[in-house]
Amino acid sequence: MLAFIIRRIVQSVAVMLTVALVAFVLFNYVGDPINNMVGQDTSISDRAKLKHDLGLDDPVYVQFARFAWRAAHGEFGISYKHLRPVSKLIEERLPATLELSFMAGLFALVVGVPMGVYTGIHRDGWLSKVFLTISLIGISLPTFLIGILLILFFAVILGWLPSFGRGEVVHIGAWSTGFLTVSGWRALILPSITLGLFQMTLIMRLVRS
Amino acid sequence: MNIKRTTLALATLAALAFGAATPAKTFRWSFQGDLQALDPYALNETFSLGFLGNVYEGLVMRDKDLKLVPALATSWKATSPTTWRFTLRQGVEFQNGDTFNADDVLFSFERVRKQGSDLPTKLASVKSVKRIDDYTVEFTTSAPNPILASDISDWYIMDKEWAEANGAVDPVDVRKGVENYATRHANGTGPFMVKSREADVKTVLVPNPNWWGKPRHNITKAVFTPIKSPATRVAALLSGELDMAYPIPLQDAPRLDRAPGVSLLAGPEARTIFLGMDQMRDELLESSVKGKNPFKDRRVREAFYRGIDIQAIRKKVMRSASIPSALMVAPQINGFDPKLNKRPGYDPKRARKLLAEAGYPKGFEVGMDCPNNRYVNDERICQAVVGMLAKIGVKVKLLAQPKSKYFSKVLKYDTSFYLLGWTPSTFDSHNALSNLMVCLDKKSSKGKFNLGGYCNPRVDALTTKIQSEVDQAKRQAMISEAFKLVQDDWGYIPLHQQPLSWGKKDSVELAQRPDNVFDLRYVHVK
Repeated sequence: MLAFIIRRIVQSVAVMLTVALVAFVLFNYVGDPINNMVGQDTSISDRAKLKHDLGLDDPVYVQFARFAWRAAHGEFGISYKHLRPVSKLIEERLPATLELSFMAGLFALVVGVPMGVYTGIHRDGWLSKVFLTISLIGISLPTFLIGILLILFFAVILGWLPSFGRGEVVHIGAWSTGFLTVSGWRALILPSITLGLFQMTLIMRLVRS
Repeated sequence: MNIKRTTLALATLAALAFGAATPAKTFRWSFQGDLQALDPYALNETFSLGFLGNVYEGLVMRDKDLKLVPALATSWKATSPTTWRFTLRQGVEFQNGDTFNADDVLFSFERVRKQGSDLPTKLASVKSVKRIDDYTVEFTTSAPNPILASDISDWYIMDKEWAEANGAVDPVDVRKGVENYATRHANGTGPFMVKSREADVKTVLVPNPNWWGKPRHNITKAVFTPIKSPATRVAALLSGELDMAYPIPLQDAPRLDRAPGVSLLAGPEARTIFLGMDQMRDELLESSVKGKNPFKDRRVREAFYRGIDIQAIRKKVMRSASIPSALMVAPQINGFDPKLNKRPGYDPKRARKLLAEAGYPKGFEVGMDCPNNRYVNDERICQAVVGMLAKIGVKVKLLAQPKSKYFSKVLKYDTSFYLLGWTPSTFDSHNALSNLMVCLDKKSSKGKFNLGGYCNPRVDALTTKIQSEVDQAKRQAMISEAFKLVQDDWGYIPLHQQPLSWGKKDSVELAQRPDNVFDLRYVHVK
């Protein structure tokens, strides 16, 4: 049992490092971060100096080793773009991310399971056929397209729900929650549906079978 | 949205019932990106400096037509070829109550040149700043600089006492990895104050009750939300959640025209889009021609110029919103000469003849670099150019990339033929000449954005003289002469002045500055 756990942990660490390495290397090919950090008037020598000082002209594996070592110690450094510690930035965005993921997952379960049960029991009913068609749409349409369509329909044409943002949030200590305001709930509806639709259709089909 | 409106209506009624006078006028707007930091020296970028221009102010500022007007300085004049005396405005307070005086100007001068600041070039010509008395300062430049006031229009003055009390004396240096109080807090002299800031989410501004000027706007609260996705931004404007959004993709212009209550403002931007050619290498990096460089022959350059139908680009690609140009600067730029702005006509037959004369009767192949998310319809312009050049026998292999990849390639001078846009940050022609048209010298950063290495020593000589000529008439004559030399050389192919694209509610009045800066001072919400 212990050997099993240890093996799994080692495998997870290996997977994390590999994924981090691939993502890290990819970023080296999406352009020069220095160009995004300085304005058009900055001289060539100043740019080169900044690049050197930030260690960006070291070979890729040296940069990655430095990054991985620091990340393992929880030091993510300072954001080039925001000029603030990365850990603070993550902390600020965590509540929104977690709340949205939770709602999307809840939507997928709460809607997917009953739909699956219903379509399982009434296999040939017309309502079942409707549900199955919806599930087909959920699986085939890409998420970003579903998002844009929902915005177009519910926010622009009908004007029922907001097209962006979190609504008013309440700060409780370090956490900011959208669950305590009406506008917060309204802002969660469309994004949760967009994110949860794919999961919902999978759950529905699984439960059905 | 409805609940917000109802609450607002009820609140207004309640306020009126209790005899309160002014209704709340909240103004909501959005741009595709966000500020990186509230520190005015963090990034030399039009959007950041424009936004912070509502909270901070410099000695001089630009009005809605980009004219220089007094701000924290009431007047300025050159007391000698290398000294400028600025008389400072009295009775000005920073938003925390500190008095503004010469000490703050000196402090800001030191701070903007420290490591971590991205704006030192704005003060590069200034050797020192001397305090004459509490409300007079004298700038000494290392060489005569007739446009010093233009250089510093977006160098904002910071409060010395506030910075010292809060550990913000140095701008944030990314190398040191330490955050700074000024990144998330602002204390300026401007008409608005930062009430709250969540990076990438929302920034709220409220009027500064102690501002020295008389407000022309009627905003009581201004809420800024960055929305990256153009589709979402347009949707938010159409659904009424925003009062103003920019930039609006040109293809959404008809939607805004059809929708009631919103309209599109597509005035000209002071940005010129042009094509450049590699004229420095002996053999092009990306071409079928080996052993020589076709762009070194001015007949080939003229052929390319004549092969482009700018009116077709204007009508089909830019929906008639662009203004074709024969100069590398826009009319709003100091030094623009309308006599030189006559574009040689579209003439594909002549283009073919010129190519044949130059030794390329069957044309040739060449690679082209283009950004796809930097300028208005940049990729579509390049695709149109490819089609037009094909008609004169030149086969162009287009590489359109996102700006981060595009700039990282072309700023290494790794290009044969490219599209670029330029707005002189000083709104003066010398900036365009010295960045784009003087001979490239990689060591000294001269001609840094002259990516094709166009070089005419006479242009260089004129540009050096223009930098220190204080007689306006002589200076203009030299600028015109330099521009004419570039035109006669067919050194560049200017295309057009691109249009701005702002969407706004009809119930809001505002001013659209040709440098794409949104100034809240002119906003009126009905």
